[in-house]
Amino acid sequence: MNAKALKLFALLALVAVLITVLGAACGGSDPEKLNIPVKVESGKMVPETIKVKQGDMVTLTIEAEEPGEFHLHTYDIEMDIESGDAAEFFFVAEATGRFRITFHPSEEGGEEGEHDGGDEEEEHEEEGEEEGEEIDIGFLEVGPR
Amino acid sequence: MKRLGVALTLLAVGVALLAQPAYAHGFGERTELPVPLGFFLIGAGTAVALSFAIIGVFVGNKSGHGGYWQYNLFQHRWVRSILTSTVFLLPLRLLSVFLLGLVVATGLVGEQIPSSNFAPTFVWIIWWVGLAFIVALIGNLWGLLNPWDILFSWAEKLFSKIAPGRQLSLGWKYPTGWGIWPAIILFLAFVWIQDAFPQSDLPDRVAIMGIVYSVITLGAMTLFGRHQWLRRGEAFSVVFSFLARFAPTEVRVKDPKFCQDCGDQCQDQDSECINCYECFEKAEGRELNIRPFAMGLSRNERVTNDILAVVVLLLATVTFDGFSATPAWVDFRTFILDNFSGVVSYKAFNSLTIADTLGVVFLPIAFLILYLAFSYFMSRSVEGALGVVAIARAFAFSLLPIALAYNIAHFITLLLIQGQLIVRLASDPFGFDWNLFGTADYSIDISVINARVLWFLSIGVIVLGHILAVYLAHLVSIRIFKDRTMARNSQYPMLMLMVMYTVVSLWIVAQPIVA
Repeated sequence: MNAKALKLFALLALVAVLITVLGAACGGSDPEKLNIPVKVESGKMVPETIKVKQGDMVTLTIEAEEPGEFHLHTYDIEMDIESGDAAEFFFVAEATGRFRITFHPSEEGGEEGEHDGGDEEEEHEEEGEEEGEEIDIGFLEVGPR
Repeated sequence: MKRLGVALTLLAVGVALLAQPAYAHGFGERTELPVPLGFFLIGAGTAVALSFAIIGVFVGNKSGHGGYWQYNLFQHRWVRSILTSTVFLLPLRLLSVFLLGLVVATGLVGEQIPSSNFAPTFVWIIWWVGLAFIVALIGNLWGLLNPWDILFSWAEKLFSKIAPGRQLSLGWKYPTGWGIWPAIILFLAFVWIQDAFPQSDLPDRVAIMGIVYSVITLGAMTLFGRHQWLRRGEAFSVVFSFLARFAPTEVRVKDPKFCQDCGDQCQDQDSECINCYECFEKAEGRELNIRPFAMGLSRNERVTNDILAVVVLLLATVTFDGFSATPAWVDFRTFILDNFSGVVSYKAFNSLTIADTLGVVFLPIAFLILYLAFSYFMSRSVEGALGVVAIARAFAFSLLPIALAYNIAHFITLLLIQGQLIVRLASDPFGFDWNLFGTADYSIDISVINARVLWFLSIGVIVLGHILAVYLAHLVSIRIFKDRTMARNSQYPMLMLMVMYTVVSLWIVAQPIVA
């Protein structure tokens, strides 16, 4: 059994090496400076997914139909957006992943149509002063380089 | 059984009473990128290719005798005396009981925001995900750390001092027919809370869950005895004991005769006494062994229907946790929402809960049917030498590595990234702006793990789990079928099932996480 087991592990090792080589082959390019304009329109971000690569220096230019707070989760970047005004923010996409972007309209008691629970006010607001519902508007995808 | 039903109803009602919609903001948020198609294909292809390679390499070359390599750490006296000394064990026990108390206290009294309260992060991420990893990859620490076990044995000691000669436990006879079903039902309830109950990450809900479960566990221990309940009713002892079969460590009682008398049904069919804590506590000849990964799953154990049920439940729930965040499931939820939103209007339970409840309940049933179908094919391929159910039982454990591997691929980011919250929460467990250890301002490092590393890891772990599963099934086939050709023939349907399950796991990690 030992000789056979050895064969199997050799096979395993070969596959592992193959995968690593394949993986390494598709890497490698330099970080870029990117300027990405996005719009928040009727509860969605256009484009819905922002795609960048790790290390990219990204400037988002955000326009919104209504005033509110633009929130890039996990990176924890929050921006107050005035309607009509384009707001800019800069960040370096250091962490790879797929990050949620939400928008809190700042009007009082904003009644965005959610079907179910969760529209009662919390006693303690964790962040931001808005009382409106938090809407999912899109994603930031940071791929590996 | 009736009492258990009542307790579960109380649990559900107790939690439901607290229902108050709130924002589960940023807690347990998944951030992984879906695995790209190329990785998915390489993973799937490798799994299929290696499956056949294993059959080719191993068939006809292994005796049916069980047993595996072991190295007894207790043969070194210092290891033994450290690991069994009170100086080592007491702080661990105190810590474990303290943490249970802290979860309840922070959950009830602390700030009701999941990410600023110790209870949700500790219970859902550090304990449930993290400890499961440790149990599967290192060994069954739960046997050492179980706070209910510790509390009850303290109470027993205290009681025997107050009333010498009497037992704290009422010593009711545990009904044999129950098997480990109480643990299964409790575990199902836990999974339901995790996957379907709205805002199960709210601190007070976590605390209530802890209290209700403590009452059930300590109560049942009083009725039936500590070890009876730990082995058959305490959901986590039972579930972790399944994961621990994969682990590279085991505790073993040397003398098989001792095991016959110290606790019922601890012995497996090769008269070995492994991970039987009741016997281990009392035994003289004790071993703490290092063994190869996964080999604990190859033992010749008596598999009954309840054990088969736990395995199927584990396979299904692990998969469902990932599947419920895929676009496909979200479409299904939307369908339910559009068609049944008026049916249930109670505010704690909306139609999304219903969709997820259907998933939690029906996926295990679907898995069981599928597994039985493939067991039927296996039975046919050996010309009925063994019946469908006998085959299903015999091969059940061999499927676990795939589920375990998927579980690791699915939860590793959550543990590594969201788990970092615990650093901050250790300093400020209640969310009262304390700073006990000076780490209250710790901010999560979201770049600890790079997406490419993660993709390799996910695919690698899943393929490895698949290989181990195929290998284990192979060992089982050689043990139960004396005839080599039969053993090999039985493996083709099994192989197909395993490839299917692995491909489903790979497919899920290749899906973007929505929900």
